[in-house]
Amino acid sequence: MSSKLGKKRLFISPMHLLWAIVFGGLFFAILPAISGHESIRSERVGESLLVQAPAQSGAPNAVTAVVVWFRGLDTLGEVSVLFLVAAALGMILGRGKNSTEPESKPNEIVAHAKTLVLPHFMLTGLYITIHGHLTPGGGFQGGVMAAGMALLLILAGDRVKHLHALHFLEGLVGSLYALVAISGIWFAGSFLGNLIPIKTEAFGTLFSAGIIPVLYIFIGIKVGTEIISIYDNFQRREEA
Amino acid sequence: MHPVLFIAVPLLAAFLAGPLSQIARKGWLPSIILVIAAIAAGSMLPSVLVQPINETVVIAAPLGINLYAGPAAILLILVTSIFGILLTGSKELRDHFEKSTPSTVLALLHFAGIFGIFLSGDLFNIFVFLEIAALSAYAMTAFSDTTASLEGAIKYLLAGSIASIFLLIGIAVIYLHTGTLNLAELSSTMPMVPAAAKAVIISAILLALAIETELFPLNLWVPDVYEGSGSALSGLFSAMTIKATLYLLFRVITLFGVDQSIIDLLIGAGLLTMIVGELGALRQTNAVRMLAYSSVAQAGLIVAGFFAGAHSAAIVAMIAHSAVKAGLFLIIALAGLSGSVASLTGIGLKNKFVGVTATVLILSLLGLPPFIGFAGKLLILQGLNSSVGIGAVILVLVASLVEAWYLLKLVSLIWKTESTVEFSFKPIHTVILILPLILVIAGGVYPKAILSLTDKVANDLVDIQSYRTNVLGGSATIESTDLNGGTQ
Amino acid sequence: MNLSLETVLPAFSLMLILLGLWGVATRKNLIKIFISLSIAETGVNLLYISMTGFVHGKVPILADPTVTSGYVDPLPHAMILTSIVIGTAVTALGLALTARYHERTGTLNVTKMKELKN
Repeated sequence: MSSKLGKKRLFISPMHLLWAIVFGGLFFAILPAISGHESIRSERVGESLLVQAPAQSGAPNAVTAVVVWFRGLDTLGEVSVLFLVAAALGMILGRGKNSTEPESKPNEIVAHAKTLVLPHFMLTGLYITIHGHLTPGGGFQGGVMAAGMALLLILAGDRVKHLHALHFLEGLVGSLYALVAISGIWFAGSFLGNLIPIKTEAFGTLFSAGIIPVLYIFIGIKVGTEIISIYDNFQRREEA
Repeated sequence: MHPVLFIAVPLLAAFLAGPLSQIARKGWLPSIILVIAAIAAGSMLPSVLVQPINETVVIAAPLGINLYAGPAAILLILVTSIFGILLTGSKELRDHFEKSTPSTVLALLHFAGIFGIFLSGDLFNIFVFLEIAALSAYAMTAFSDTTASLEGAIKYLLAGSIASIFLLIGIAVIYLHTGTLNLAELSSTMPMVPAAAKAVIISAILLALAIETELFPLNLWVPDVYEGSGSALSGLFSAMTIKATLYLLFRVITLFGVDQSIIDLLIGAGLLTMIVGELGALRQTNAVRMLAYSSVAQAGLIVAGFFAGAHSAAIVAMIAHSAVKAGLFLIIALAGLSGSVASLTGIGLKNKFVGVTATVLILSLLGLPPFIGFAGKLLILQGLNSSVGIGAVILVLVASLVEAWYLLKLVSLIWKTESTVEFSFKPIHTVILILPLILVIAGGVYPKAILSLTDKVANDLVDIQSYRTNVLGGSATIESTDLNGGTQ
Repeated sequence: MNLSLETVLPAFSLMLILLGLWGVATRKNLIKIFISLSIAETGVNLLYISMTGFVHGKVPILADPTVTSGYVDPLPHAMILTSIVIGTAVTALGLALTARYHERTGTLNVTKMKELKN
């Protein structure tokens, strides 16, 4: 096989073909198990949670109710994963000097458009975060939008100047989240319990879902700061 | 005492790691958190042995996440945190913690993940905690920033990511067919899952857990990770991380009630792992790598023993292995050596206490009386004899002969006269070695005390009915609630 | 054969997962391996979506708290949210390690990882 042609071929070695056969076989082995919708429970756990969501959590968006509250421990863990990775990147990329050339000058259009786009980005992110229990949005989406804003600024040549403030906010919001969750044990019956009464009569309004919007704002800030710090670590790496 | 605090307090400490490490200086923060966890677990243990605690998070069990603090979980939290303290308190790790806050954060989150694996009663929640523990372990492997440690971290990450993909596939198929993620409820619904789907579930989950528990042939990455991460971290992984994944394997497989053929497969994989591990250790010249292979072999023995019916013995072996490996890795870390086996020459003559401890721990690892390892190995052999046959016993004994070959060589090196390297043990640093030493000797002299405890613990792992009652409540019979939908 | 979205999506997602795993098994370049892992993770996320039965159901945002039928199952959505975040985290960590590794050794080839071996 000529080397020029060989490089473009998918099956360079017989091992590749062997793996392809293995995974092809797996496909037909697994496929019957994942099609079909009958479950042994007559009503799946998620469907039961959907029924209970309006009365117990006060949130019209059942996904939010599940994410932030019914399975809030998963979400606390997930926020910790982001925190973990931001810390790990700081550790791994923060050491040693790097000889990569600084990137070329930022794009003219990006540099000028940033002031135009920024306020809209921020406002949309904020709206999405605080309306997480009413609309298909929430802290993750809003936080990522805020982080997208930071990415835009980085592309436009700006840099995170107050790293300490960023890390302070990161730690503060994370610990507030954990503290609110822990205080639920004594003040609301269970971990992540509802410290703020739910207003069932005001179903579907902003101040109706008890603690969910508060937690989602924490999640939003946390996700935003973590992703900014992840970007920032990679960016510093390239320029150091 | 609320079991959720085992998870929430390390998380909180991790979020506050910056300010807290100003108070707990010199990198002591992770050790302090482990001391708190050990004290809490120790104080909970007597009451949990009588009545396990089931904590509800937000909504009751089949619908929401529950944390089940049974005797097994609490005892293993106690054991892993005690031996974790040894290693996090070692100079090698505290230097890392002192130098940078991120490494403190990683260690604390690792503990939160491990405690979460022990406690959680919900399959997806367990996945999340497994990922926390795994991701922090990948990053911790890269602590020392050498090419070897980066290579180990990348290999660990690749193996772990494949495991998590299989675990997610397994969870998806489980949820599709049963409609629940709660382990207690799954224990009663799994038998009703169609055979084809059940095969996919079991193979996906077994594959994922076999990677995590380092079973042959999915453990090729393990020695690399240990060698790359250095002795103190290897000790931490050996004493804490594998124990959590082993517990998870035992818990999940017991609750799912798999067929005898799968049990036989697991016993076979365990025995094979042991033999391959011991043979691998035989030709190593690096002490950390040698002990890594030995850890793999011990994990294989524990798995084979547990599934052969020697449940209590497997728990004893887990405790013994934690103690021994924490002690041995700590000695290598304290000696501050390059890690090659030859550099350990004469270590016992320099410091008698270290030499005696190392010898006792090694003899216990071999399973010689009068140390704790003897009780564990003997009972596992009995279990293998009665459920598999004499062939398995002979296999284990042959593997033990191989083990004796390299471990006794190590002992003779330790007491050799011509010393080549200068050691600088500070006596204060070696004091902590008394912990594993006492456990190994006391457990060997009074095995009855340990066995009466582990019998209850093992019973907690295998008694599915009482697990269900504790988690889902005694009044409702499970079958009827399952089939009528869980809306009450 | 019925080729509705409901029957095709599980097969498609499984194909993505296995394609990703095939990439992990056969590619030599670390960056390509992480791309393959991301493909497999996307496949897993799609698999969860395919379980919700979204073809027949509505988005689970209730207009009236008393009417709770006809909506899709919200739990898999919640699980995907978690698994997306974890997938991102794994990719970020993997790429950071790769960057540092490349800086030290100048290679991205997994077969050249020979620092640690028997």
